[in-house]
Amino acid sequence: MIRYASIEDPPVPIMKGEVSNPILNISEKGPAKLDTGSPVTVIPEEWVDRLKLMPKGTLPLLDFRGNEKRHRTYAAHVTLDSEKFEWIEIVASRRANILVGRNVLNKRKLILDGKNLAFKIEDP
Amino acid sequence: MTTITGTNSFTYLNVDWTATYTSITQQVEVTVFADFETSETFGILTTGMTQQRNDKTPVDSADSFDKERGAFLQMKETLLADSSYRDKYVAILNSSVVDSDEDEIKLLKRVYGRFGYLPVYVEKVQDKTRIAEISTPEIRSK
Repeated sequence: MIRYASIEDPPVPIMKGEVSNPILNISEKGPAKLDTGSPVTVIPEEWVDRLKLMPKGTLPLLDFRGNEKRHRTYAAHVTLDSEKFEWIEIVASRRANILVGRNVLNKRKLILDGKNLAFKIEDP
Repeated sequence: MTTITGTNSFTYLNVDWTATYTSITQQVEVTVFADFETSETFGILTTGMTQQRNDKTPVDSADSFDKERGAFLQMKETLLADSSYRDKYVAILNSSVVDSDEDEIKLLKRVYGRFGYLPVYVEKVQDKTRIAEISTPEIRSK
């Protein structure tokens, strides 16, 4: 089991993350927060330029206040610890970490043991 | 209306290009020589060269991408009525459907392989509108 990170209060399941351009093989690394409440994976907006990602679509996003805003979508490879998920749809927003959404998490078995502040992600 | 002629070399998307300007007016016409698909990338090149000549800013993929999305929205009803496109993903480049597939990733790989890594607009041809909800508020520590 992996310990929840205490950098947030309450503690949060975070892994080592890496996002890479699927064509140009440029990558950025950062903490990856697991969030089953998000349908897509989100990256810091400045990474779009650094990774030279090309937009491939748009997606209207509703935030927790109910505000809707259309975001560009990109396709990128997302690595969690050492496991790589290829051609994942991502959006970008003003944030400091990677938000790993259900479009990645639903490919694996995720066990959240909140009581013991530990989690496990596996491929059964 | 001014007409400019000449040649120019530049690098765009890691590809070295040589362009011959036969006429730059309000309606830009260019001839491009490169080991690449040429006829279907004129829109992007036109944007790039116009910007280089006018304001020296880097090529902005956003303009061409918005144009491709606008083209999709204009075509959407027609595509919905066409059984060969309905419920499939379509790729729009230079305001035209260049490819389609039931699998979005297969489509993206094929289009990037064929045309290069460009801002291609890909969307599923369907009646319903997809809306994603990111309902988690972020608490930032100070």
